[in-house]
Amino acid sequence: MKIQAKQQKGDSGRTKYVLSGEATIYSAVDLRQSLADILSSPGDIDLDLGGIEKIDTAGFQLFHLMGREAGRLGRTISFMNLSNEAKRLFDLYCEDHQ
Amino acid sequence: MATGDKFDLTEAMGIFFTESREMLETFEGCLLNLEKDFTDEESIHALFRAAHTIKGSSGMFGFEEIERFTHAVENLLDLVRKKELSLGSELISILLDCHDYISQIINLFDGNGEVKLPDGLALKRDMLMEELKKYIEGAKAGQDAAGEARPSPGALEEEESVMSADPGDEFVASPYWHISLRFKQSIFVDGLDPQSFISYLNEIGKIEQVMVLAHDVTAFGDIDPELCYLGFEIVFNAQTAKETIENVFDFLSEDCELRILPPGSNIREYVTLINELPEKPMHIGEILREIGSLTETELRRALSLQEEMFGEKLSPDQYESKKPIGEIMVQEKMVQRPVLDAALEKQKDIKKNEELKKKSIRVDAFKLDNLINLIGELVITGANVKQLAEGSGNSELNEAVSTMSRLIEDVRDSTMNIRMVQIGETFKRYERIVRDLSKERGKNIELVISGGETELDKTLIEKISDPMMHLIRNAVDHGIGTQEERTAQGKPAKGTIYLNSYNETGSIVIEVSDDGNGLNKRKIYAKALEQGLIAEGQTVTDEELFRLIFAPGFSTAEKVTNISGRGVGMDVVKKNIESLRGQIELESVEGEGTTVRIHLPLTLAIIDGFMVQVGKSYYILPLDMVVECNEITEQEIEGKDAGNFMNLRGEVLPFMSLREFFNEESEKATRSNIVVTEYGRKKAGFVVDRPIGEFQTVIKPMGKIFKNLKWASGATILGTGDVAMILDVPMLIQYVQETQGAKKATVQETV
Repeated sequence: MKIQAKQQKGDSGRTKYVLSGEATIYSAVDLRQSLADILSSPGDIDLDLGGIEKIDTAGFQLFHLMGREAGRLGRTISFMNLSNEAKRLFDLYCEDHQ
Repeated sequence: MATGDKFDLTEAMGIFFTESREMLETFEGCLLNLEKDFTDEESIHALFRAAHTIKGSSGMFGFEEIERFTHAVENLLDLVRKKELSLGSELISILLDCHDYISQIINLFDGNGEVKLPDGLALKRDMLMEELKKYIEGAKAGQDAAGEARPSPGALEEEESVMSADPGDEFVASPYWHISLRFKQSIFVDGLDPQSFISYLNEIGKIEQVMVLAHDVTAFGDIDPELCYLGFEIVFNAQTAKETIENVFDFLSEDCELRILPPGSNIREYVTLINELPEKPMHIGEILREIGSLTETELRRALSLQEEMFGEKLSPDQYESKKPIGEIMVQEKMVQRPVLDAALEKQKDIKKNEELKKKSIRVDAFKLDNLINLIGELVITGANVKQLAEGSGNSELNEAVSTMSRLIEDVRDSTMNIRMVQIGETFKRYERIVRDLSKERGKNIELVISGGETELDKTLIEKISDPMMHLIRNAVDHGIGTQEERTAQGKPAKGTIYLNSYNETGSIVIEVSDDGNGLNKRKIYAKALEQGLIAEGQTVTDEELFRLIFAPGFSTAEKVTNISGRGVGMDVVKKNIESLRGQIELESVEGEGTTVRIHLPLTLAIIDGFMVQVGKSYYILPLDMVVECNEITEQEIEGKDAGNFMNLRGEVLPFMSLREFFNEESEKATRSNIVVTEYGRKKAGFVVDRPIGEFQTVIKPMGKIFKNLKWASGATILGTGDVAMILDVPMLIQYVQETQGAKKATVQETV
């Protein structure tokens, strides 16, 4: 399934987005677009990855680079509620998440 | 390895011994190859690997004696491999002695565990160790004298004291491996995902820490999501060899840059790493510190070294002036290259070995025997079913049964095939014997092997090994003369022994021939006379004369050596071969050479038989030996007091009536058939009442009471439950040839 991003009301001024679908090389172009859109809105971001059914290193790379970009812009991104698939990969690469 | 381990160590130990013996075989083979060509690189490497493997596994099983000795051998071979010591015939002889010694102690320990060496062996070990030491030291001395710039550990230390006041500081404290990965940008598009390889690391050890890096990245909006920008710095905890880690990423070798630093590496290696990675030195250094591969002090030291070593680009001609720094670089290159080469080569070898292993598996011979027995039963039952089906007249059933029979036949064939082994391996063993013996006798002899791919039942191969050995020794000892003798005869000084093997009707033939003196007929005649084997004035054909050699206690050798000439040879050889249902024959031309030919049956347990009926009895002839089957008229059989011969398309064929031979009393059949058989290049016909046809035959040994029945090699059970005798065709052919031949002789005399 293609990647989908939905905005939700977050707590204490943070904006929360829920991602669902595949984060793989096959959906990388769409995923980058979605993440770039999310980045373009102001403020700190919570990214809910509970709906990520499949993820590979190409998908991971986008999350990682997004986090770096946010840092450069002086904002924070928290990856949260990771699906099992996503959690396994984030843990393997020792990437922070909540 | 502790003996209290849970799994069965004895079983593993058995494998150790088998494998070590195989390794020793390789070891010996390589040495013999090297003797012909001292520079054969492949053999040198194989030699080293064999010694290395034996050392490794003997250490694992706690055979210190083997480990220590093979370690010395390995050290020496390492020098040979690095071309610091060159091989010569003397050294090869010593190494062959080492091989013998190792086989001896392996045989000693097999079954006994590690025991104290008997004095003789201990002495041998000490002598060999001494020899090895001499060579190793000689090579080292020669090297020092030549002033080779190979960095020894000592030289390196000296270097370090120049560079640093505190040389103890030069090795990093981290007890973990450091793995650095950089991928080709197209790796994702190529369909590869590094995660599977990285997560595999957790199978062979534990990933302690990973740092993901991204380089060449501008703004998030500018990246191409399908390219890979990532790199990984991994701290890896494992007790393993570098190759094992390299093998993990083997598949990615073209798509990634892999750098592996072992635990406790020299800090300089980190410096090189920092310098080689695409990221800025400070940045990468910081990462190394963060993930714990370098401590704060180590990092500072590394960075200062880095500046010293790589801060300014040195052109090659500056190496001389700035010696310490320049030398490090040269050193890096010199040290790394061979290490890399060795690692690569090792990897290749491992792969090759694994491929070989995949092609074959070890099976307990007992299991195989059991399977063959069961298939024997299956064949008999199958025959029974077939007979019943034929009786029932049910055509569908018959069709199914015939398909089943065909399948049973296939299963039988492939099972028998499992036991078939190429004879080449066995042949190779004799190379050493020929080499050693000819040296001892002061002769120059080459062993030429052909037909090594001929397959033979494994049991047969094991059993012919001794007789073969005897024949070869005979050839070396008596067959081929000394170099002077040969030159005097106008022959090439180098003698040749040929080992050949091929398939012939129903049998496998192994030939041992030499281009030596041939048999001396007069001597044999005189000796036979002396021993009363023939009467004075008796005329004998060459064939008969040569057959005397196989008589017990017969030897014409003037010189009794430790291996032949004692007259306990050829009769034993003959008996051994005959016990395998084989035959042995000998051809010789005086002054030109001798050929001994061994015929062996193809298989032992199940054969394709040809069933015939005589009166009420059934007999089986091995189908391989049946050449043809013809109808024969009464006239052709009857009235031949002069011996039973018939004209088979211009060929004289001796024959015999099985009805007469077995005193079959039942009524004669109206028509007869003759079955023509051939074995060992001799033919004979057997007159039977009715040929029945092909029959899968399981050879059942006959009871002790029947052990004197020479013409039957066994019995089998028919589908009906009746017993049919399996005729020993080679024996019968010989009988027919002899009896009919004798009749022919008497006829000729009376005429």
